[in-house]
Amino acid sequence: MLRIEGLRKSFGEKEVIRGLDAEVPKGEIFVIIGPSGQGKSTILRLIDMLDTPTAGNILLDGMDITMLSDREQQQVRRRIGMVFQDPAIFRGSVYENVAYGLRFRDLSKEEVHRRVTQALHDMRLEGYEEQDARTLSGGEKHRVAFARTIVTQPEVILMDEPTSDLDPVTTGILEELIFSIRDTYNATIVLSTHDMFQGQRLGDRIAVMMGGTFIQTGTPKEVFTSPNNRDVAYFIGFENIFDGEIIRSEEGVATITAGTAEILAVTDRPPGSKISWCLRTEDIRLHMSQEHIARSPLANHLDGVVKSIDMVGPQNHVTIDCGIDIILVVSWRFAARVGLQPGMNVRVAFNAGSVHVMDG
Amino acid sequence: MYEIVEGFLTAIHLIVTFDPDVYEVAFRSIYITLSATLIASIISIPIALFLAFRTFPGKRTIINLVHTLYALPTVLIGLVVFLMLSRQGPFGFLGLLFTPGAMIIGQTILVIPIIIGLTYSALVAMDPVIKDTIISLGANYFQFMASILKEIRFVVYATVAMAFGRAISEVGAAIMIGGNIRGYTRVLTTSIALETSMGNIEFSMALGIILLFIALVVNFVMTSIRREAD
Repeated sequence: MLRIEGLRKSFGEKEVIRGLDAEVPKGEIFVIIGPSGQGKSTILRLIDMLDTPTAGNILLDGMDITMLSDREQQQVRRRIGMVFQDPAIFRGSVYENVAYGLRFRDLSKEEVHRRVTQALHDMRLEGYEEQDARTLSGGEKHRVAFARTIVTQPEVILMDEPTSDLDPVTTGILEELIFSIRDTYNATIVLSTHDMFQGQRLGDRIAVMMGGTFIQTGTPKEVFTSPNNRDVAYFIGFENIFDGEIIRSEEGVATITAGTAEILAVTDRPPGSKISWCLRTEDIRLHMSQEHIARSPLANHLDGVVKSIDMVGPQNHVTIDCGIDIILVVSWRFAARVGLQPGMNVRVAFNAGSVHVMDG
Repeated sequence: MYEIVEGFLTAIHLIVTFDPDVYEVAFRSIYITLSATLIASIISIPIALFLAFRTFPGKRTIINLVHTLYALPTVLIGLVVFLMLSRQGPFGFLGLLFTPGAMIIGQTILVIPIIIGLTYSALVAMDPVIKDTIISLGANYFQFMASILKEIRFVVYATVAMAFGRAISEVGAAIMIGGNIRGYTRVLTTSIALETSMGNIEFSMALGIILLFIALVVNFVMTSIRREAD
């Protein structure tokens, strides 16, 4: 069990970590996501005792590891492994690189060989033993770094952006290996990434880091469907984020101001609440104005004018001025079929249940 | 011109016939310089590690001083060591003046700043992730230092080879501290200076060719190390 309490870290005048709390149970993959420069790497370095916190505690199985002597730190550090963002490759063969940490542990030659062979097998590096590690590709170097870390059988593994700068295929392989490491070694993994979708794929739980603290922690489903403020919503990819006020509420359905329009949302918040609300592009349907639409009590319909159409990959992002600018996604085929053009009158529809209400 | 060609041919003859006087001087030079380089390395490398990984007041000043001492005039080293070891000096009781031991001390002082400075530069230029990775893998203090040295070993080898080259080609301190005593403290550089002044050009050239050969070997070693490091 890894527990972080009131952690703070300053570099000179700049406070990078501002009072951070977290609890990571054994065997969990805990992913820290957030934009670059928010202090994700600093947290991992603090857990690995490579830096010293300004305040707060980090407890590993109940022991505060921020107050240890150099010798005690070294002993505890042997229970932790870290994979750096740009892994260091030592001079020598792949075998020697993987065995590096074991040489510090007075293990027998046979035990070193057994563990290195197993780690190379687990990381799909069999046959690379004698190769000069510096001649490997980026993905292979990352696998060597993984192998070098797991070979020491750490209880906690820290991974700092372990797939940044790698191609999607290699990233996929490494993500599989991360699951395999957790399952094989029952290790607690704390991983940082700026890729929110990677966080979603890998994390048992996700912590969103902004402004030097975790502004939301939860399962991927909780975080991705129910962001707790505008910043989180923006980071995890909501394109429709608005401020508003609840003007009426009845049986858990609130009427919210939306520019010049009003929308319905499912929320328990009382009338008068100043809130923000957000809506995923894929939850919005587009209709031509003249289309007959069957109305349901919890449906929102807003009339508007197509403001712009932007091609994004295989889709069109369409911005519609409904008093507020609503962005939705349509396929190229659909846009061509209905002759979608800027200036067209259209209607957007979305369910009250798709509207997520959060703190303003 | 004829004199030079004749001198060169005679020099080659002295070398290929293993002239005892020539080889005695050459071997003494190598022995003294190797000893000085080894002692200087043992002193300097731990100091460089200390400077690179410890923070203390005055560290910047010490590093600047070390860099300044790269260009230390050898005659100045000769003068200082002479004064220290002379009969009236604080270490006069050791009776080392005009001995090979005194020459080793002089050359050691000469190359210590070079080895400290270049090793320190290599250590601070090292990728910090390498240091962090070694610590993260659970190294204790001595394992950390040994691992770091292992990583920069090619730079250290090249630095030591460079220091050897600087020491063996030095002449000012060798004359002042060693006294250029035949069969005892006479080395390649002091012998070349003396024999040339006495008009024994052939002998000087033979010694010069050996010195040049040593310089070429040192350069070859450094190039090989650099190639290996790359």
